[in-house]
Amino acid sequence: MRVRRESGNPPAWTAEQRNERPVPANRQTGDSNGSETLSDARRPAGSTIEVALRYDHVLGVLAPYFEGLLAGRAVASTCTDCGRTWFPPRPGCCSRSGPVRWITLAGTGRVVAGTSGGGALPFGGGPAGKGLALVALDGADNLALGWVDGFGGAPPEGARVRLVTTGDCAPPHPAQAARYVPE
Amino acid sequence: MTNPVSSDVCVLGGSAVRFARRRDGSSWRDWVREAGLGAIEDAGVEARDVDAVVVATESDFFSLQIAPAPVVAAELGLDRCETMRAENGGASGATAVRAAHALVASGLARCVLVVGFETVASHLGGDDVRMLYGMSFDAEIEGFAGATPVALYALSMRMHMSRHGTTAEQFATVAARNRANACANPLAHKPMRINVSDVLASPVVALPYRRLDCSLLSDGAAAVVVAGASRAPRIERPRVRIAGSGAATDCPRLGDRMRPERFDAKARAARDACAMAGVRSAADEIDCAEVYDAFSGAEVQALEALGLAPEGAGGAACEAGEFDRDGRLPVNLSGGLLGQGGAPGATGVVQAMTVQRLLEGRYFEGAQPPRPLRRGIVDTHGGVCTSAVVQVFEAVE
Repeated sequence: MRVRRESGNPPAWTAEQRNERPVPANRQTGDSNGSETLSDARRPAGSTIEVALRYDHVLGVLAPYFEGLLAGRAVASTCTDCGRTWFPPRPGCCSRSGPVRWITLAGTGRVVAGTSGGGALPFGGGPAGKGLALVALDGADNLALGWVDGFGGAPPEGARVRLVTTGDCAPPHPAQAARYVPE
Repeated sequence: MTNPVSSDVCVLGGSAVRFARRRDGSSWRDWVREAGLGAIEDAGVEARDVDAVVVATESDFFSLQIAPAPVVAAELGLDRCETMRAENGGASGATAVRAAHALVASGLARCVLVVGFETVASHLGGDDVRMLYGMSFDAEIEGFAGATPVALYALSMRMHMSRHGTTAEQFATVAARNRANACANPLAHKPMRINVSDVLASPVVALPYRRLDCSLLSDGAAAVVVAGASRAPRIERPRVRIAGSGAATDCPRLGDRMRPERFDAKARAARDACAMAGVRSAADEIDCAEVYDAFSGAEVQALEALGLAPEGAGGAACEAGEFDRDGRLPVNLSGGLLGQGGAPGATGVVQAMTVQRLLEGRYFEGAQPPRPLRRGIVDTHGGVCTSAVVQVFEAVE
């Protein structure tokens, strides 16, 4: 963790620092579980510090799933005990959970519920998709969350979609490769 | 579940600071001290009576304080006490009250101060807060992919609308009612008098949710004192006991649930809490409720899971005014998260304080219903109802 103290105590602050410093869009203060922001960002007495984290994320047991996403393949887990197939995978899917068998699904499915997307992906991943959906992949017993493009907004219930690869444009984290387009 | 714990555990008193975006130079240390000392005074006990402090806060990212419980206790001059921290997402505060209940009922403590706080509104940028909250679901698979709370709640509600025919107009009445209720609550972040048309005209955030369907993120703190009835001071008001308590968990990913539009964990927690309290029909035997309304439609889903409305009929019941202040069962008289605001660690605690005061008949003027209230529900959850905690409070003379 790197911590940089940006400002001193209030008496040392200039009027610009205290009241009139422009606040970059990505530093505006959140006000709502929606996306309301506040441009009137007067600073309280205190200091502004920046905390930067470098995190080496390890894929672990989910590696086959994430590596599949990057290649545009739907790699699911099948419980050798109860027989259910999960995409995204569930290495411990039931109380009797036995070893997981990895299988590759066709990557096609049906939108069960959709909402409007937009905004930005975390970790500098660029713009999010126009729509977000719960998708029932053919052969899976659960629903997968993924960005869906091609409908101009919220994908309609029942629409057929397919998982696509991000190609050469690898995202900061493979989770962001869960993207679908109309079949 | 049968009642294995003492029925003699009470909420003796409580206090809270105003929920707001605090830009007055005060910090969470100021808020927890004000709330904690206020709760001790309101309970009519002495600080030396407190032998345990349970602190609720959702994320260290917001306060930059790991292991906050000893620090909170020290701020209150209670550093000799046992301390612990409760974290359970949006249900952190309620989990702390439940932990205090267990400590007292088991005899491990006699008098517990529960303090909940969060610094979620004024310390971090909006994008940073949204990213962090995306990690409060399944971080690696969904949060890293860019999922946000509003998007996940929206998907759950879309399925509710599809299955039951619930309409945006129906849950917009929740947004209007709770904000209107907040007008009588001096602790509220965003009291507003709005109508359904205002909600439906507000900007889309994630369909079906619009700006005014979404609750606020607030800075805030609240505290309650939980102790055996024998600790209660001799004062002329009813005691409020924790008659029932239930907690349950669902799959953190919506897509792994059998019915993503239904709050099954809440239903199980409510069933256990009501059974412990001897409540056979919540709709008939509960007089008021503070319900977790992170989004307007989520209150509809919660009312159904709590048994306060039939499955699929919550939207129509809200539209019919059944949960208005003068309705058959007033809900979120505080304003809820939509009107009072949401400071996750403090939410379940301020709900407990609200219901305790409602049952004692001394909640804020204009919010206290004229008729006497005997039983109330305190309902909180984390995630899209992934972790649910439900408690039944009861006034006893």
